[in-house]
Amino acid sequence: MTYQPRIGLEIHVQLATRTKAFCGCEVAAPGAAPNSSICEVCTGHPGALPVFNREVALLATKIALALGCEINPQSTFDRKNYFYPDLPKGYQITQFFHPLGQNGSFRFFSPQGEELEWAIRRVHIEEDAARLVYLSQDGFTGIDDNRSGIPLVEIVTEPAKRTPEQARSFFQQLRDTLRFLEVTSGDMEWGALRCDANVSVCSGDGVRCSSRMEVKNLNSFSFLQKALEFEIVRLQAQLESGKLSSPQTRGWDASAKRTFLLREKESLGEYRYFPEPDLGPVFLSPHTLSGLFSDLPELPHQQIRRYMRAQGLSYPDALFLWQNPAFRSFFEECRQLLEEPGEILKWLRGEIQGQLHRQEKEFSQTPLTPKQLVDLVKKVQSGQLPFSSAREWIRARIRGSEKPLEVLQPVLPDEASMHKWVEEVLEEHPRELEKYHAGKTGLLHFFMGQVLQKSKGKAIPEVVLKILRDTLGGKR
Amino acid sequence: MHSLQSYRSALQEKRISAKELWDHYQKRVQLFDPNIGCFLETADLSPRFLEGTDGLFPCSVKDNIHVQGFHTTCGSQFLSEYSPVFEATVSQRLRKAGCVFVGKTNMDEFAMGSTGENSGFFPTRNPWDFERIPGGSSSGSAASVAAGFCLFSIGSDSGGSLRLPASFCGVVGYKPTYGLVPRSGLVSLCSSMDQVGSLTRCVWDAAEVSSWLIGKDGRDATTVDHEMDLLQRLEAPVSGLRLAFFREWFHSPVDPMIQQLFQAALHAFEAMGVTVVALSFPEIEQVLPVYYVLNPAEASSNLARFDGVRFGKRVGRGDYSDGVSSARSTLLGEEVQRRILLGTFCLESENVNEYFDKAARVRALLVQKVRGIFEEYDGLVSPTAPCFPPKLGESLSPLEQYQLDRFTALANLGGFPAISIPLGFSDGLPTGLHLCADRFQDAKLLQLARSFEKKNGLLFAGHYPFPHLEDRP
Repeated sequence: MTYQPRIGLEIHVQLATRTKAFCGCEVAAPGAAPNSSICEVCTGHPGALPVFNREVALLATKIALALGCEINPQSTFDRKNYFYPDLPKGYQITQFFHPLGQNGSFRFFSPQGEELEWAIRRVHIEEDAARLVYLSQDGFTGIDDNRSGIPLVEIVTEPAKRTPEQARSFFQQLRDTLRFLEVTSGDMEWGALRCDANVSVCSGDGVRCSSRMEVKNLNSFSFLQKALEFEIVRLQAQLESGKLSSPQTRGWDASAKRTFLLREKESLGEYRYFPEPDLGPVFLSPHTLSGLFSDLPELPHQQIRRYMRAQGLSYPDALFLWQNPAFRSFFEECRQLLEEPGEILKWLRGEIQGQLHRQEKEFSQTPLTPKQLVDLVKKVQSGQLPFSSAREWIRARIRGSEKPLEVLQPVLPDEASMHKWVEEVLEEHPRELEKYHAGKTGLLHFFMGQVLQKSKGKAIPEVVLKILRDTLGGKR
Repeated sequence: MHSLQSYRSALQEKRISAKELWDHYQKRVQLFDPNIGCFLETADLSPRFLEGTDGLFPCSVKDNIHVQGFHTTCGSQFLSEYSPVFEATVSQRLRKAGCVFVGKTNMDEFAMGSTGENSGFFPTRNPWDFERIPGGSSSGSAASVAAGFCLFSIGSDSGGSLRLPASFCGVVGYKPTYGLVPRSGLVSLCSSMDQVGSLTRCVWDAAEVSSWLIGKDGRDATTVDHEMDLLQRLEAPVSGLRLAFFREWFHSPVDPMIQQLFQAALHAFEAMGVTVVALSFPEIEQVLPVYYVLNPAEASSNLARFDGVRFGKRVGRGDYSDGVSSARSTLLGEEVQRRILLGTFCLESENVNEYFDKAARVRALLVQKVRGIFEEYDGLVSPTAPCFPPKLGESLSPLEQYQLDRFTALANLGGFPAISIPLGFSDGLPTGLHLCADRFQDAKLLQLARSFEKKNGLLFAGHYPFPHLEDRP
């Protein structure tokens, strides 16, 4: 029996506005003293009325446009009514009937580099609720209204036949995109980006389906993946045993690595929605809309796809370059000088990035030029320069050494020592040698690696390979 | 001193000082308010600002509008100790115009009611007959003006809450076009219909007080920027204007004396050159059903914040849900609970199509038709109330109470300006004439009202309603 999961995501994005959605309170920095940025509006005092912050409309529209949504030039606000201590007014101002954006899609890459698309049902504006602080002593709960009224955009996907791993990629790349658009800090540890996941599982023929489970507050990429994996296994077991449970809202226990029941969804969403009478529509003039549209930059997935195509790169290499803009222009210059970019990327992603990290430096602070790196790669490839010398030179360069590549004397070891290293390695690994002669010729690379290690990088790969082939051939 | 104008000229001629008027009102409040129950809270006896020489206008404010230095209880035990953290825009504008606050007036709890008996504290009595109700929900406001406790009062009107008590108390109640007067600092009952307005002793005062209040407010997104001079046309002749009334309004019982006074009023208008036409408008029967679906629905949401966590008192023990239900069922009155339940019912997913959505559609249709009528007529004319003020404790059923809004609620559905002015007396009890005009036609509405007031005479301009008490020490 095969099973097919259907996954839908609801992602809440705190917008990076200066002030809250419906009052003039500044959005407090994460970790600010509780209730230090509040007023009568965001604490729901009687008689206080909401006034819409126009900046919210602009950032939210940017998101909706980036997600390819149809934009409603007159979206409206509604009230979602329910009682909860984190909800000061007893209702949340949201967009239910006429959301800002609808029918969009988000393109992203699977970890394998496959380009995928996930349909977006709607993008709407709403306000955040207060933060509840569970005080350890006496079981009291504190209410921090700094968060209430912070503008949110909720992105709701269509349910799709996707894997947990793909859901993770979607969420990750959505965050990259939102950060790139500078509409949110995207700080998940502060709740600036939050994800709820819906999942159900159907038998392969689609005849039997489980109930839909909603897992709340999956505030890390790996939690999202793990929670979905856990739920899918759980729901498959339900389908197999025939003991289906009703729809539930569940939470994720990160330490136990399992979901747990929060509540049964008996009354599915009794929120008594109705149009918010205190606010008019969010008007977006054709002028505003076309301005926002033409200001939209090339999106990350478009840029990555362009690198992959134009440079013939793998997805991880293209992603690396996208994530590191300083490397990107450097790489593009190197590409002018060298046909095959693979070695350049190996140096950039390996030694150079590692050294920068160790020395706590920015790439722009190093005097390394694209021409130097290309020369260096060429010399190593042709056996004129041992890898270890090249590495030393790069390290020195990143430290700030001005020593030109030309002064680097090719300290080539004589053939005698290389012969000696080969002999020693073969003597030290008699079992592998036996297997090699028995036909496991792949072990050639193992011996090669051992020799290079023994030589501390001084041996020249091409020469060693030749000696190895000669020696092994001779002993056959 | 019974109007802003007469008071102002008396001040100029130094026949009276601001302090003398203030003390006059203070004394009357002390002597007579125990009989009437207008005030939930009164000001300090001798505020220092009275030593100034500016024109100072003592006024009262309904207790659902925030005034600095006073509580805002909304006539509810739930908010008996609530002090507002900001001042209403209208209160700020009143201060700027030179007003001082005599006190906060009693009202039907959260403005739900038409009699004044739904106050969570005590009922207000009608100054013309202490055995009778003053009308609601701005009960204390209307009574305080009629009783001579202040020059004017500020209240709110969501379905007739200024105009019905104006009719029962013999004063002028004016609800401006929705969006003209800021609601910031008015505790919302029904956000799409609530409007702040005035209770005054004459039409001139209504126009002048409202001219202080109107104008766009950065704290209320529903206010509009609309230049308007309310006073300019007040004395202009009305001949050539056209008024209409609906025959169906009289299909339900209307007190015969009121019908008689109303007929006389129509003749008075005709005598001034106004055309009066009777129209048939059967849809008018839908006003109350629509109003009593939409008002409770919005109210149920607006009052959700009163959960006993942030506002109100904690009642009993138990978890959050227990706390919410015990606080609300203990501290909210019967009518408030009734409307919350009604409103919640009308919005629930299985009922919303049949109730809220349908009512919203009928509202839009009604308003569209009435605006069509306003293309041909300058205003609608009717009695304000179908009856004279009932006796206190006459225990009207909810449906009978709701009938009291028969002539007034239409203005709130459409956001139209409307006014109730004294029409006449019967057996010592006043009743009002109701006028309603198209949106932003406030100046024309006031012009029509003023013309009738002139013709009809200021019914009790020179005296207070309880002369038998005046001699008391």
